[in-house]
Amino acid sequence: MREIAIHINPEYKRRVMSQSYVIVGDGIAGASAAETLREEDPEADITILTDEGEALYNRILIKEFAKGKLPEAPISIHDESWYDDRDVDLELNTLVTNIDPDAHTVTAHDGTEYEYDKLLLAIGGTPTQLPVENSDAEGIHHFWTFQDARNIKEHMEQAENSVVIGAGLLGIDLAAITAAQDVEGKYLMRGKAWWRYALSQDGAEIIHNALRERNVEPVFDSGVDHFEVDDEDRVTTAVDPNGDHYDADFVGIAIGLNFNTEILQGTDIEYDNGVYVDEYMRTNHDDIFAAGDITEFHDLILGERAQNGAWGSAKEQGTIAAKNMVDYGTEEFRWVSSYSITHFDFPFLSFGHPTLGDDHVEAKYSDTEWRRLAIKDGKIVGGVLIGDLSPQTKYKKLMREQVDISGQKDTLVKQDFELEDLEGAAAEQ
Amino acid sequence: MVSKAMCYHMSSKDGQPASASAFKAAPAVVPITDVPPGARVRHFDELSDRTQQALTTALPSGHLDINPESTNLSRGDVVVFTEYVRIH
Ligand SMILES: Cc1cc2nc3c(=O)[nH]c(=O)nc-3n(C[C@H](O)[C@H](O)[C@H](O)COP(=O)(O)OP(=O)(O)OC[C@H]3O[C@@H](n4cnc5c(N)ncnc54)[C@H](O)[C@@H]3O)c2cc1C
Repeated sequence: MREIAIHINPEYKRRVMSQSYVIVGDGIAGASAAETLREEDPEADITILTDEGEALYNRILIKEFAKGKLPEAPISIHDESWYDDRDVDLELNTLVTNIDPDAHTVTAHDGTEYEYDKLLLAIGGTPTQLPVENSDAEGIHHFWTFQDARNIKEHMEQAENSVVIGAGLLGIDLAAITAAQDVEGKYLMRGKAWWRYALSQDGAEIIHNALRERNVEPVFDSGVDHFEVDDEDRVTTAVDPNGDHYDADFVGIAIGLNFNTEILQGTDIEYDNGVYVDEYMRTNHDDIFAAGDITEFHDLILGERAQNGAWGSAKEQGTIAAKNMVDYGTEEFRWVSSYSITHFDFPFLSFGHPTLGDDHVEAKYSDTEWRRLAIKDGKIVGGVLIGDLSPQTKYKKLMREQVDISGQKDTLVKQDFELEDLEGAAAEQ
Repeated sequence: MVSKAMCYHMSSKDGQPASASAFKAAPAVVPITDVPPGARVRHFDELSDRTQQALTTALPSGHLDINPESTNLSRGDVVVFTEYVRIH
């Protein structure tokens, strides 16, 4: 039989025939994309595939659940009726194992194939395992899913002593859970400061003191060499590289994320640490987009590739990706990300890319008030505010608008800084 | 071992408006210790920059200088910040 190739103008197809969109991942990026797709394209077929066993929940509140401060109910964002109401097909417990960009299909672990016109990868990351002896012992936890939070909470409620590893934004959540659950804790860190790439000793000391007040002891120049276990393979002790032993029947590890790029192997979708996308969230394939933590996006503000790991950014990327899936070029992703810590009496907020830059300026105002701005080519690219968040919107505006603040670093960190204090072109903001 | 009894219930009247007329006043931010059942709970990082600014300005217990209908906060919402606060 002779095969006849029918070419349909994509614009015609978009207008006249219903499009099918497949989204892999039902985190905030995937779910917000689904919501926007439905708004923008009422006739479309929309399918979300997720390997998790539950619909979208609030990943940034699961720490409050693990602390014992929130019940399960408010953590859930969408129940299954949310998807039904929008005619979105949600497939739980469905791990996508293969993508075929040429055939426009993805395949799930059970062999089911899903065809798409446009595909969105909103697949996030998985916590990095510590490559040391016994790191898979019982009692050692990583923290990403709601199920992890349930396990952590259950274990924490019976724990006597704990060790937390990972001196960053997720590690401190584990330390705060330890504190909230009244379990004595040791927080083992490499170097001499918590989040040493974004904070100086002065800034970090505010956090160290807050941890100590909550019975969590920071241990510096430490880390883990190996874990000791009992006869039932349960962790009993963390041994650091100095040979010091720390008893722990609970261990929490948060040393970073491995981005879920395995399913891209064997395809020609470009990726490195994350999936490469342009400012419209499109990959090197016209019909494949990505959003959320998984992306290495072209950051219009920074002027280079960047990766964000924050709720607000993932949500925005999902929305932007969806708009561009429906009509490419509709809206760019131009965003200053922020991430706060709410565990202490004083507020803490980091924004932009606080660990980047070729210069910085910082100031300490009191025992609980400190600020640091990261600067690149004379422009703010990120910062950390502790104690007083009021200058947040001013700094973000300067960053978003790429204002040259060269020579005005000291003005920026005046305690009561106002945009009018700046001179020259910067003053016009 | 330390007792870890927890309470998710509204054990006190904190977070409750004094009367129906309270709803007519400008929204206020009130610290709470327990989350009322059914309340929508938001993390600070879910709020827009403007709402974050208004909220931090209003704390510890002031009026919120925003229209909750035009932001992503409504009366009755709980926000997880350095403490839990409720919008009245
Ligand atoms: C404990 C914790 C606390 C946090 N606190 C904050 C905070 O205070 N503020 C803040 O801004 N951010 C915080 N974050 C970060 C924030 O939660 C993330 O940046 C955001 O949730 C990323 O959303 P996402 O949709 O890109 O990815 P994810 O939420 O990771 O969603 C990806 C989904 O894809 C699924 N998936 C992956 N691969 C496949 C596959 N092959 N097949 C099917 N499904 C797949 C995953 O199971 C997952 O459900 C926190 C994160 C954690 C874990």
